[in-house]
Amino acid sequence: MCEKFEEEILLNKKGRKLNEEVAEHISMCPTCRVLFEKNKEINSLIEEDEFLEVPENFNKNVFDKIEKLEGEKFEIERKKINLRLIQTIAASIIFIVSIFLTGMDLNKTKKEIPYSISDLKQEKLLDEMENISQNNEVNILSTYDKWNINN
Amino acid sequence: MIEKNNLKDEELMILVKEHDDREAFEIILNRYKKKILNFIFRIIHNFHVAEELSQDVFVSIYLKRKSYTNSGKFSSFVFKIATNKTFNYLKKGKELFLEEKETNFEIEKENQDPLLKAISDERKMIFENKLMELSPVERTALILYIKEEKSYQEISEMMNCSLQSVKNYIHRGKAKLIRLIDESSKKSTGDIKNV
Repeated sequence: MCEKFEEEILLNKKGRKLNEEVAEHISMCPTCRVLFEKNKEINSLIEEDEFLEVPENFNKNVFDKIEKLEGEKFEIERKKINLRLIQTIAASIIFIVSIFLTGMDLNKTKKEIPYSISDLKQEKLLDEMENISQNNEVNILSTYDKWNINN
Repeated sequence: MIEKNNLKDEELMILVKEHDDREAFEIILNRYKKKILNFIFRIIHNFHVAEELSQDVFVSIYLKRKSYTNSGKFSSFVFKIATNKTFNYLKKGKELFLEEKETNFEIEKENQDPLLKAISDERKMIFENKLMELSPVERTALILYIKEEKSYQEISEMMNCSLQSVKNYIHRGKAKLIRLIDESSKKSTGDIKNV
């Protein structure tokens, strides 16, 4: 029966009121009363004031550590910024060089090709016209030949 | 001009966050350093490591000041960082921790370390040793619950565990402590009878 109350007794601490059922049981049960007293004793030992004094240089050590870590953090940030700057410069150089090389290639290609597209089109058109006129000439000649033979 | 000493912890931390106010930070440091040092010491029982870890707690608070959100009690925020630092230390260097613990006790005995100067009360010393026989989670939950007067909810957030686990740690820890103290008093009574 006491097991039911054990947890409630052991979880009790200063400022926490026991529920009526547990309080009534403690008043009647000597075993639980002893447990209740032991629990109070343990609580008071845990509650006792801090016994260790803080060393004198504690604050100084904390601030030294902060300075050191913030310095390291700053250094890392600085390195990151430098790295980003180097990357940007390198990318810009690559971009400029590639544009320059592409420009050179275009000029070279332009020189090697004799005609422009419009030139090509014009030439093709002339060829076609010549073909047509030749065909027409052949046709005219053959018609004339036929007429001569008939007459 | 604002009298910073009269400001609440949360207000001071806002000054630290928004203006990198070192003076406000030092007030926080002075308010909590003794509590945190003793809290960590009671869990790991090594003065030098406890000192290092408690300094790291305040360094973390300052370095992460920009991400501080004023939600919940400031003391819970500080104890959460302290609990994390302590548990991480225990997780990373459990074997190292056991060696250091024994070695340090020897050094402290010889040099009359602050530990021995401070723990003059024998009863307190016996109790602190019995407390060390509990697991770190049981010790932490007990200290946060009784000494720091934190609620189950706050402790569960600090220790990253469920409410029921917190209750179990406290209940189990108390039961173990009572048994250990009973055994110890029976033993000392037996010793006196033998003499």
